[in-house]
Amino acid sequence: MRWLGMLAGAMSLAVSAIPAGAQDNEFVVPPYEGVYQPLDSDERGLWGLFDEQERKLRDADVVIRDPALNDYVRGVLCRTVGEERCGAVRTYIVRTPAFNASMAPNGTMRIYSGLLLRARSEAELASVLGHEFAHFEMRHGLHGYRNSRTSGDILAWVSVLGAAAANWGGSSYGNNSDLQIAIYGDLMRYGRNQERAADALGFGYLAKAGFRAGAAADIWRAQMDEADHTNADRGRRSRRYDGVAFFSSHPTDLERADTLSALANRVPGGHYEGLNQHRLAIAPWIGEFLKDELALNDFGGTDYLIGRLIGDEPTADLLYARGGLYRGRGHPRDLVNAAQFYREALDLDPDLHDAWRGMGLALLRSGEFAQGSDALRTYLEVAPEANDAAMLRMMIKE
Amino acid sequence: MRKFGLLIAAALLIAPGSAMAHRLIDANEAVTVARSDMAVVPQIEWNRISQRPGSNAERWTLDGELLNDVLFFGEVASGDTLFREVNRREMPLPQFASDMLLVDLPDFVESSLRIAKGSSTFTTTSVEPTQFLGQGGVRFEFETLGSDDLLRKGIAVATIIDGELFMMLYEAPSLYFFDRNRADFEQLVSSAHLG
Repeated sequence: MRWLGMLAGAMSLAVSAIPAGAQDNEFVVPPYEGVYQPLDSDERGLWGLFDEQERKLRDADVVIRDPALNDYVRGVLCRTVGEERCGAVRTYIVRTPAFNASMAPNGTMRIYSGLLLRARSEAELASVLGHEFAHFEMRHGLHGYRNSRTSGDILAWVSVLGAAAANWGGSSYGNNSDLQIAIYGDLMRYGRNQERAADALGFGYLAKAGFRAGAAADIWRAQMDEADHTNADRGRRSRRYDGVAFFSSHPTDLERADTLSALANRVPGGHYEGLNQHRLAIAPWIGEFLKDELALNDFGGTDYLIGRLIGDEPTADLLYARGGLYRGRGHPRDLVNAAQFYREALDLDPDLHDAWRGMGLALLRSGEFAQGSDALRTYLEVAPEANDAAMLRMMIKE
Repeated sequence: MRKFGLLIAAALLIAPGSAMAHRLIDANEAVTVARSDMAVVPQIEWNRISQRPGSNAERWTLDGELLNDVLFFGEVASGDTLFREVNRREMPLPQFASDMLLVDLPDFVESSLRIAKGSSTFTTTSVEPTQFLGQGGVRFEFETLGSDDLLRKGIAVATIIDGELFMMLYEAPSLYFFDRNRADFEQLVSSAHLG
């Protein structure tokens, strides 16, 4: 479920039957039918709705407009699905610390910054983008819409709940559901069979483009693990083994992971991973994206996420973020660890001045006044114009 | 159908409530705020929004909280959150800790606002030492993009007394409103004292 959104979903009453491809050609990508235009009044109405949402999205300040980052994401999508298919898509990077990408039937693709942060490589990003594009190519959104239209005002409920989810639970900015859906996307619900079909076609794209297919299972498992760590840290049980609820639209998380692994094993060829390319592409943004995650107050999940991104290759940015995470929780042992993470970050990148500040504050808070003051003094020497310099000077009585 | 029923109930809870009742705060009279000993003497009339944003909090406004939002927090102790939990299960709010440094408060406020108000971005633009309630305190300014995609600016003034947090915070759209009522907020801050 986290593949598409944050809200536990019980909305899709309609399960459309899309037969999976035959076993021998299950990953064959069919010829592209070209840009699709709506045919009947249902579709035209839906297109009009999504066009209007896209207009609002295009103007939203929360969309990241950095040309380099947009070119990179678009490049990965185009490499995955091919130039011809790629032409039908407009990509928008929405600054939201959640694992999500979605595609509206009119070709609007929303990619949350949380997905760019969580993907470890181009192959992982490609697997998610390919999966969403597969829903688009098979017009799953439309099937869902047709079915929901016959069952009363389900769509209206989806709108209400979708806005609530996009709003991060906060209601203080009032009732902006139209705008919020426009920015964050309607939480499209697909049927279980539709998910399976999109997985198969998504693997087809990956195989054709030469990406390592196992990446799809990797990033999915990482989402389950991250959720487990969040739950464990908050003293709750894991939900990955939950059974299939009657209304549940997605396969269970575990079933999904097993299916993806099994499919990945059958997908022919493809070894391209693009680990360093991905790291380089998001490097200018990773500090900001990590800061967004830290503000979520999810120690367990964020610590897992940073650990996974570090892998065998720690970077200064990741160590610095981990220092901030531990300093933020602020148990005595956390403060000791935080100071160490900042130290390691400085070993890797002596120009990461903010690490001196973090180390100083962690040490001060754990009662190491002399050492903490020294670190802050170093920080003030290298960053005298820091926006909290006056505050820090007062703290070390300069 | 039980799940569907729950869903409707959830949707109703999420739907915006009816117009909230406000109470007029008279000018030039001392009034205690946020269920604490902190008191202010406003020079203009304000509206107090009757629904408390948190158990140690109070919200005032002139034209509605989307246009000028003044928050008071008083006697916030270790383990308290600034705001009422919006979703304790999925997005619990950060808790105040009495050993926090004043310079840690911007991060604490950022996390609280992002979760409770749904801010999309939050940038602290300045952090300065100040005097608040007769104590050494911190004043910081920030810019934040709300979930309504409107850029707002804010100021917070805070101090920690005997391990308890006292804070006043002002947030308004950067276009026109922030500057218009900034002085009114500063007047509230300078009038603040312990009761």
